[in-house]
Amino acid sequence: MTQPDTDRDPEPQLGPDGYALQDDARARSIRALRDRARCVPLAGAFLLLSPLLNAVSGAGTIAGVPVNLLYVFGVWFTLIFITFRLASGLEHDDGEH
Amino acid sequence: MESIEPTLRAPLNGDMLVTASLWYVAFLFLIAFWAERRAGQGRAAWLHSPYVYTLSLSVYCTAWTFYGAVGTAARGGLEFLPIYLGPTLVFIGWYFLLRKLIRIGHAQRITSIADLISSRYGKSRSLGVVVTLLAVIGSTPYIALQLKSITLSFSAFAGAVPADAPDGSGRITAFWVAAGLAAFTILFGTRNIDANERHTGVVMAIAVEAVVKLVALLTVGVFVVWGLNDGPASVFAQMPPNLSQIETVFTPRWVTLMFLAGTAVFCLPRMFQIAVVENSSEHQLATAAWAFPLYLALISLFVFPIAIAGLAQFGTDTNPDLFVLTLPLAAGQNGIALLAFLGGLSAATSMVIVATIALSTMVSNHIVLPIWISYRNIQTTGDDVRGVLLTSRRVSIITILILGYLYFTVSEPRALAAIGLISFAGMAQVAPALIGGLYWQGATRVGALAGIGAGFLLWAYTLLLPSFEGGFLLSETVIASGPFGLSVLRPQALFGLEGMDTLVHSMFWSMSVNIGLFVGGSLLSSAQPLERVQARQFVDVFRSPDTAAAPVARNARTSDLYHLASRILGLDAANRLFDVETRAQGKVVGLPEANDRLIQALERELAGSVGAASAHELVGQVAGQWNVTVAGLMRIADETSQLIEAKRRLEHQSSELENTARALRDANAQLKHMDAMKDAFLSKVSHELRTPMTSIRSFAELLSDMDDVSNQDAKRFLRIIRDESVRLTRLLDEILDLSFLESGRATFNIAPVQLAEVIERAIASSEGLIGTSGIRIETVIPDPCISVDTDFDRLAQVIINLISNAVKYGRGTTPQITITTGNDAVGAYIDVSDNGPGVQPDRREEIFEKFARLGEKTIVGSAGLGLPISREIMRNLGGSLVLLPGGPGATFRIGLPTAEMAAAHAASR
Repeated sequence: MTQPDTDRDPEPQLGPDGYALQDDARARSIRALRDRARCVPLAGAFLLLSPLLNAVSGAGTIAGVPVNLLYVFGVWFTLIFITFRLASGLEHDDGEH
Repeated sequence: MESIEPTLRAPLNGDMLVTASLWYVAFLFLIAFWAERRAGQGRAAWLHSPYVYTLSLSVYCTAWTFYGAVGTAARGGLEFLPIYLGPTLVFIGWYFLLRKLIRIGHAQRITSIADLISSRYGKSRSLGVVVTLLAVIGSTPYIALQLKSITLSFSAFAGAVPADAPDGSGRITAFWVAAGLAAFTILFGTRNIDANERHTGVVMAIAVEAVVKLVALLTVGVFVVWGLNDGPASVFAQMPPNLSQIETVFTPRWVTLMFLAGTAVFCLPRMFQIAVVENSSEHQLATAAWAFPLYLALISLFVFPIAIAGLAQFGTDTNPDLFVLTLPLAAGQNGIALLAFLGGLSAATSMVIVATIALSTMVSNHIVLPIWISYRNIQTTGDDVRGVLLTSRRVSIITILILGYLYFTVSEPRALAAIGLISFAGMAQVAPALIGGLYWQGATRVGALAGIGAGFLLWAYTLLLPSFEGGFLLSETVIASGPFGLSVLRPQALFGLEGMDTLVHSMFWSMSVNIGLFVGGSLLSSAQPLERVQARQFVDVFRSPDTAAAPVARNARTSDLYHLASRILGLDAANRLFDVETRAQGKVVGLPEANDRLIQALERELAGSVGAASAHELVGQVAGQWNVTVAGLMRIADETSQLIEAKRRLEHQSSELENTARALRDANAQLKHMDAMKDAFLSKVSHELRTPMTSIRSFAELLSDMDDVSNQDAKRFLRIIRDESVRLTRLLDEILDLSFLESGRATFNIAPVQLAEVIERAIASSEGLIGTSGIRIETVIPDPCISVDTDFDRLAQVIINLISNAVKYGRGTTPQITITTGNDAVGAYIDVSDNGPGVQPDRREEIFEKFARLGEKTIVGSAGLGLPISREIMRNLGGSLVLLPGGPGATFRIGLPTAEMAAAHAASR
């Protein structure tokens, strides 16, 4: 699928019907991915760099492991998983920030 | 657990360790050598795999991580975590920062962090020197830290596990380790001057070491949790209270550590080298974005359990930095201990190798080469430039390692983490200028220089020098009570800021002053032309193509340029470059023309080897200095502003179109409504006109058809025909009148009018109506002198209409009409009320519509246009006609405009 050239009339370049629609949908999904990719570190900063940490500290233990340790590692692995899901979609994104 | 059963039962001694180390290092040499050969044969596609890139990034985890993280956890609980969480946040936010950094790195052929800063701020030589010095000074403690950790790990095996007392043997170990590292680095780091400063062999060896580190630490972790204990619960059950009862994790120190680690992951010379310089494509980053944080999380997973188990077993007497080694040793698990030792060795050596490569590149490109250039001219000298570069890099590597070794011998025994943090804090001084340079076009060289310089000095004064504890430059008394006894200037309580953690204190002052001077200096200084060009290429790297038009005209002979290229890049690379350019110019053979494009391409290519500033200088020697023309600069500015302007205009146009479309839609709806109203009006008018017409026609037919019509009947019929004609005429008159009024073509004769007079005239004119119905008219005129500017006849017409309306509908038991005048806030008014049944509330507005009474019986042959006409008249006169709410009868109010309002209304018409 080729990116429509904005300088020229896009009509002749679009072969079968629906190409324009597909491109549009793809651009929209890329934009949504970018927005999510931008939000992940912000959410991470909030979860790991705020007084929330004090809230979970001293909250006892779960199965013998301190809750704050579980919390930090839980957030950590969740962030990694989300980034993993988002990164493949943005790997070939050459767009503007 | 079976899998980690010891393979070696005999006690380890020093010789065996040295043997193991040597074998391991030989193995690394082999890997590096093999990878370089594969790359040389062009069969190294998988060497550029994102996973190799990710693993090589783990050079972030040095011996500090391997040994020190456990030590930190044993001393301060969760405090070891920010060192790994900071980089995690930066990497999962790859889309913000790292992606741009790498894109710029590729576009500008960046060779080091000093090169990046220098290149961004107009290829500044001074900035290159400052950042290089900062990097060397900042990295020296870190290299010393690696040497120290290796000697510590040797001493741990020596048996007694003494805390650390580097006697002669420790120093000798450290010396030989440093020498071995120098050999490896020189061999694989400076084999040649690569056009992109990439070192395939080194990266591959680092990636293998990364795996060893991870496997070793995980093995020790699994052994401690499931081998020495019965799972996590039993480990945490032994947790000493000082670790379990820490309830304020989120402290200024936590934030500072997070910030330091976050900046370190791209500011430390070795991290920049791996993440940006050795990166071969952006796609690698998309994988590293999650894979590197995963690596960090796995490395940290067992740190806390190991620390707890170590504390439980050894108490606080032994050095907690060595728990990774001492735990398996104490359990007699020599195999695991050896693996842990090799893991630590990997962590230490990989850091030293990459750091020295990065630093030596910086030193040779930003210090040695500029000095060489200022003494020699590339065109006249016969020196071997590549030889000079290589030699300077090799000498730099040895010098840096010697510096590290000296620091190791001078520094007091300290925890590993403290030394590492000094390093982090030093390189963090580059972060404001770096990040500002990527996103803010207004950042200038002066600001960057001031910020980095001041931050550097403050960091040295408040953190680095006190770390020697009186051993170097600052004496113990100065540290304790300030220079010259000035307690205000105490390094660890600057300006009386006491009671803070020394790291937080140092970061607070150095970063505040750094950022303040950077921003302030940028705002108060103006950028040189070359700075502006570079700033635009950096900040807009995603917007502008990387081959931006050069705003300068430079001249050179092609042969001179070729000479320069072959001297720096080597003959092969120079030939390749010139071939490409020849073909780009449409020629088949021969040398390309020395146009701007060629000169620029050459400068970029050279920058990949010697850094932007030196490349600029070298090309300047051949092609003349970079003299920017005002027109050229304007063109750059124009391109950007034109784009912005075009975008703005498009947005404006589209919003305008939207507004127009909305207005059109509204207008269309209104037209449709009016069309429907017109249709209704026409059908009503036809209906009204038909009634009299029908009766006229039928009576006329009667007259003409009947032969024996009596005279009396004929007269009656003719009277009916006449009456109906009159009604028809009046109806047509009314319609015409209304259409005139509605279209605003009616003319009015405005003059001062006494209200009492108008009312009198209207009542007189209505006498004919009243006389037959016996209605009484009462007037209440409190102030007979009220006078307004209006049309006398038209106002009288309105009152007559209202009276006739009241006569028609206001049939009370004793019908009475009351006409009242008065003044209110708006102006004078005339009320006409009757005592009839009034108007249904839901019909209040309807009665003003044309032919509202269609279908109703009317006394006088009115078509029901009286009220609409009256309202139109009042509208034209600038007044109003409304039906007042409330009963019992109907009260119509004629609002009369004051003189000013009438004038304003007349003007608006």
